[in-house]
Amino acid sequence: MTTTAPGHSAADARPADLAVEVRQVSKVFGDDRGHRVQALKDVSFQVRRSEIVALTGRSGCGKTTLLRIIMGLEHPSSGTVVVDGDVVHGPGLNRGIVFQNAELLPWRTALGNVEFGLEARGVPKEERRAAAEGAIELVGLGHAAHRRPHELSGGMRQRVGIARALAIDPAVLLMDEPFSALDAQTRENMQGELLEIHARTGKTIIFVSHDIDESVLLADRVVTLVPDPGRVHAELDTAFGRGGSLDDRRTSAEFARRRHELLQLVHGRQIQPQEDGKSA
Amino acid sequence: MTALAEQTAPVADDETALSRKIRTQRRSGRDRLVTAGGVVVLLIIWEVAARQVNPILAAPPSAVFTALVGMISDGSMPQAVWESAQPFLVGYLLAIVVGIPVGLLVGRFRVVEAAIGWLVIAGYAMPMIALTPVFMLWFGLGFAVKTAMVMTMTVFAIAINTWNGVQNVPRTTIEVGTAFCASQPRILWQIVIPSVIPSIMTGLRIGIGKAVVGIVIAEFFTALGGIGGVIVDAGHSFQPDRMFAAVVVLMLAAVALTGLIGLVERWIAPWNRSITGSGR
Ligand SMILES: Nc1ncnc2c1ncn2[C@@H]1O[C@H](COP(=O)(O)OP(=O)(O)OP(=O)(O)O)[C@@H](O)[C@H]1O
Ligand SMILES: [Mg+2]
Repeated sequence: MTTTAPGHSAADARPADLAVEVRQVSKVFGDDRGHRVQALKDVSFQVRRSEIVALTGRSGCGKTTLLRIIMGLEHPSSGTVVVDGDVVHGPGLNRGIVFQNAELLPWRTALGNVEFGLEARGVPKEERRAAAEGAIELVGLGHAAHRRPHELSGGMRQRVGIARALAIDPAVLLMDEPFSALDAQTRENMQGELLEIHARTGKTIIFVSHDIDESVLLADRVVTLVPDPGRVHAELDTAFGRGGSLDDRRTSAEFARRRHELLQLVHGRQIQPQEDGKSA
Repeated sequence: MTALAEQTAPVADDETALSRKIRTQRRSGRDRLVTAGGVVVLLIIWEVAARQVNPILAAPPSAVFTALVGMISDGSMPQAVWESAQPFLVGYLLAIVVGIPVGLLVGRFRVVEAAIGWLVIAGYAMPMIALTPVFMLWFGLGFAVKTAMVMTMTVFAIAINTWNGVQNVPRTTIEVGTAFCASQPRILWQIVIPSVIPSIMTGLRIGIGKAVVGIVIAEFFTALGGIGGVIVDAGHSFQPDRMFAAVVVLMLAAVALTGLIGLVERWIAPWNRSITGSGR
C-alpha cells in the first residue's frame, strides 16, 4: 500500500495518488408520487490515498446518498465515481461500509455479524474467527460477542457495524455517522482507535459526521455540502498537527480556528476574510 | 412486467391481530386463571343447555367425556386418530416441501412471479372443497385422496405467506449482502431465508388449520375411517356424544399442533420473538 503522508494540499495530488474521485455526480430520486427529488447536483471532489475526509452538512443534504454511490449501492443519475482507477458500477472488495443504522443481521450474534463480510469473501473458518474476534475486541465488545443485536444497545450495534467493516480490511473505508450513537467516553476511544488503525494501515477513510469537532479532529480535509439540491459548498483543509495525540490536536489554536471556520461553512457562509487574515 | 408482477403479494389475513396478540403475549398466572374460568363457565352453560334438549340432538359435556373414555378404551378412537394422522402428516409435509420453495421463488424472481403468481393467489382464494368430487375421481376413496386434500388445502397458505415474507425482507438487509460482495446464493441462504423464517412459520401455523379442514372434508365425503368418519357415523346414528367426542379430539389436536409450531419457531428463530409482539 502506498503510504503517502497525509497533509499536502489537493493541488499536488497526481492521479496515481487518488483513491476516490467523485466526478460531476448528480442523483435524482423519483418518489412514490412521481415527484423528483434532486439529492445531489454536480458533486465533485477527490480523496487521496490514505487521506481521511469528513463529509458534513445539514440533514438531508445528500451525505448518505453520496456515500452509497461511492460504495456502489446506488447508481448516480449522471457523473461517475472512480475508485483506484476503476469506475464504480457496484460494490467492490476494495471498499467497506458502516451504515448509518448499523444494519446488523438480527439472527446472528455480534461475532457472527462481524464474520459475515469475511464469509462472503471466502476467508477460511479459523482465520475468519480470529479476524472477527480481533475486530470485536477492538471496538470494545469482547464481552458481548455472543449476544444478538436485539440484546445490544444502539451504540453497541453501531460498534458491531464498525467492526464488521474493519474486519474485511478494505482499502477504502466508508462510514456513515459511525460514532453518532456513542457516549462521549466510548466515542473518544473509538476515534483514537480509528486514527490508530489509519496510522497502521494507511487506509483511505471517508466518514459522514454532524459533529464539527469530530470532523476537524479526525479528518485531513472536510467537505461541506449544502442542501436543495445537495452540492459541495466548500472544502476545508484540516490536516494540522498530525502525529501528535488527539488531545494535543484538540487543544491547539489551529483546532479552534478550523473549528470556527467549519462552523461558518456548515451554515452556508464563506469563511470571513479577517479570520483568514489572522491565520496567515 | 405484467400488471400482476407489479402488485405485491396479498397479505395473508387469516392471522388476525387478535390471534397474534394471543400468541405473543406473555401468559401471566392471572391470565391463565381467567382462561380456566372461561372454560369452566362455557362447560357449565353447555351442560345446562344440553340437558334441556332431546338427547339425540345434543350431548352435555359429561356425556361427551364418558363417550370419549369409552372410545379410547375400546380402541376405536386411537384407531381413528391414527387413520387421520397418517394422511394428515404426509399431506402437510408435502405442502411444506412444495409450498416453501414455490413461495421463495415467486417472491425472489419476477419471472416466476409473473408465471405462477396468479396460480398461487387463485389456489389460496379458491374454496378447495369444490374440488373434492374431482379428487375422489382421481385419487379414489382411500389414503391418497385424504393426502391430496390436505396438501392442496395447505400448500397455498404456506406458499403465499412465504412469498409475502420474501417481499417484506427489508431492502437494507439485502444490501448488507450486496455491500459485502456476497454471491446471490449466499444472499438467498444467509439473508433472505433467515429473514423469511417468521413468515414461513406463520404460513405453517395457518396451514395447520387448513390441513385439519382438508382431512375432515375428505373423510366426510369418503366416510372411510378417521376422525371425520367417526363424526359422520355418529351423526347418522344419532349419537351426539360420540360425535362431540370426536370434535373435541380434533380441536385438541389442532391446538396442540399449532402450539408445536410455536415451539419450533422459538427454537429456530429465537430472535424474532423478542423483536416482535406487544411487549406487555
Ligand atoms: N431512496 C430515496 N428515494 C427518494 N428520495 C430519497 C431517497 N434517499 C434519499 N432521498 C432524498 O435525498 C435527500 C438526501 O438524503 P440523504 O439520506 O442522502 O441525506 P443525509 O445528508 O444523509 O441526511 P442525514 O444527515 O439526515 O442522514 C433527501 O432529501 C432525501 O429525502
Ligand atoms: Mg444520512
